[in-house]
Amino acid sequence: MIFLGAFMSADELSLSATPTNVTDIMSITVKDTVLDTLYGTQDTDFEITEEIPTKWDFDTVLNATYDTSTAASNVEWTLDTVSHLIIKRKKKDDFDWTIIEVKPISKLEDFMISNMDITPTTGDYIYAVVPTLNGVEGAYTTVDVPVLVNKLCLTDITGTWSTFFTDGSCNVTWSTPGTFQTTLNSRYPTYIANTIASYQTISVAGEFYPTEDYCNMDLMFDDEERVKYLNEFLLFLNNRKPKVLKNVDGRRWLVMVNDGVTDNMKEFYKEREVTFSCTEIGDCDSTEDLTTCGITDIPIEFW
Amino acid sequence: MAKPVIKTIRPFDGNKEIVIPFTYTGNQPYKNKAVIYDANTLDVVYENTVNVMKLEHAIPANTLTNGKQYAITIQCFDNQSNPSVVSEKTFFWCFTTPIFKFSGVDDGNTIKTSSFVAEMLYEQPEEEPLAQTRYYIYNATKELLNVTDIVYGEEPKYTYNGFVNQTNYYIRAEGQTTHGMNVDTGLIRIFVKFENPGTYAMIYANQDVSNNGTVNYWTNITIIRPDRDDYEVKDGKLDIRGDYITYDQGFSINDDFTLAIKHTYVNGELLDMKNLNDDHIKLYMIDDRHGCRYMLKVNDSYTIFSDFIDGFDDNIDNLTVYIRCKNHAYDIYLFYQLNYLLKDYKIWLNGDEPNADRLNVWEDTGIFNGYVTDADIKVVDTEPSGVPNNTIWIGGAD
Repeated sequence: MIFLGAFMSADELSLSATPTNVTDIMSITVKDTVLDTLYGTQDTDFEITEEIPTKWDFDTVLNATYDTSTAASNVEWTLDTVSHLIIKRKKKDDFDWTIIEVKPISKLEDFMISNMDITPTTGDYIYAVVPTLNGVEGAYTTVDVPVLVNKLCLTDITGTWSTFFTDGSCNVTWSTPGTFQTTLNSRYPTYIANTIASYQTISVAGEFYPTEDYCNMDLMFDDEERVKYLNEFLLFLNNRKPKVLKNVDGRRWLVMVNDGVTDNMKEFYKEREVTFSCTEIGDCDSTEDLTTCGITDIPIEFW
Repeated sequence: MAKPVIKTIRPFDGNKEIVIPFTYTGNQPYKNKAVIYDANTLDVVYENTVNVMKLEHAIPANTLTNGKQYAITIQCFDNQSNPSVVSEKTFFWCFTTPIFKFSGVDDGNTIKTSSFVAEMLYEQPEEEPLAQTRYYIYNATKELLNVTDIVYGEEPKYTYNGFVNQTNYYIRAEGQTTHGMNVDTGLIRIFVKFENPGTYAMIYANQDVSNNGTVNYWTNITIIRPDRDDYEVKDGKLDIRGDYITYDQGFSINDDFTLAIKHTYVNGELLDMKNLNDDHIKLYMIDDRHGCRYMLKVNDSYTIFSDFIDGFDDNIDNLTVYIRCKNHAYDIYLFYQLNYLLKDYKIWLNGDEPNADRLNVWEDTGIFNGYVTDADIKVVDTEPSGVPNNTIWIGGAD
């Protein structure tokens, strides 16, 4: 409508059209300017001021300040400055780190790591992500993780089975192979050890289930489910993969299950108890041992 | 004499039209006749001849009743109406199209963990059970990342693992009923954004909820680089006059957002944000009959304007512009410093302001038109003569 030379209800006087919903924006182009800052966030509630936020938070999407580079990242790293990203962990009071993952970096997606560490036991741990360039480590970024194991757990790369300690038992025998040799002129025998071997053997018994949920199920009344889990656990024990056995008191062992797993009836045929023994084959905090056992996959140059 | 052969017919929904294909090696058929029998009583429930040369017969919607088994025969006729031998009976089932979808996850939902247990919601009125299911996962560009083995059973379940934070995926399940009816969820888009673990960090880790000593960890490293690496950053600024810079990897903006650009110099289109569907959000500097201001266009269908900038000089003004999108409504916020290069005798050295001892001294900016660079700056004792207009010098007596 034209009124006194003005286009009423038109041009900039008109009501804006309903906006189109644009989601999943994955490309931003800035053209023909001198850029000082480019900042994007999913936060739409902060007060807008002349000073653009500079700190990364959970909502920040990108932040390019052009101080030293054109990167809009939350770290100074680039594909050119990082050859591997390393995940390490240690107990808070320990000195040595254990490497649990080494990821070669060749593309941006490689920086995103999402994985799990099956070896910790009760205690306070520190996890760190460390960039390296051809073996030279960069700054450590760490996070504290309290860990509590409240069951007797047996875990390997295929899964975790557990039983409440009140239902299971865990007895340890420590072996240090050696012989005593009596000699002609000595009242006491001579101890001879031809090996530095010193390891534990653990006897375990219990009714194991894959998760805590199943522990709450009364499988006494469900033969089908009970037998299913029983068979799966027996297969798990005999899958020839190294395992980590964790006790509620904080002890844990890197073990192989010995031959001779037995499934015994307790007082009633539905009350089953699986008994097995396992032998310690390494140190859960040794990068080399964990790799040798196939629990982690760390290249030898990082051991 | 030739005889049509009807291949296996998978169960279908009798409420929808279905085309039954067949093979035939006799004379070119000009029409074909289909007879459908109730498989239990062998009563004829459908008999029709269609004039079609193609080797198929379309059964109209709502002809057959779901939940029942039928048998079909087909007979072809050539252009002389000579009939072929009637085909063997092929038996098939009709079932209502089942509801088959992910339980608890709808298109566009956000997943807050790195894994997700996919359970299916399956409902079929005639109680035809689900027999097997396969699960698929695709990336944001719908490239297949993984497909599972067949998961058997009426209540299939599969755990998707290894989701990366701040990433879009598509998940899909494809199933088959005991009588071979295919069901498919189609592509369901999910966005993975982990729940904030308290404080912002580069790495997060927490113990698995089952207290078995398993620690889940994930990095929170965002690497966003432009698509080219031939830019030169100088004095805290990036000069892309006559050029552009594009970021198109390592981030995704979903729904609401705030975007800020601090810049000097602008010439028409400043910003272009787009998604994979080629939807655009563009920001322009325009000089209309009222003066200079920003114009935001969303898909060329929605336009808003900023306030006017009085006395705007595109060479020397320092502009901070925000675009805020909230509940799909857009707003522009603008801050600007006119004559930023000269304000309060501050001389912009293509970057940081000069030291205080170089301020408040005699200067003669003349009328410069152009971009001031380091090379334009001369520090001298006395005013030089014959300097070009775009040269700034500091020093000498006031």
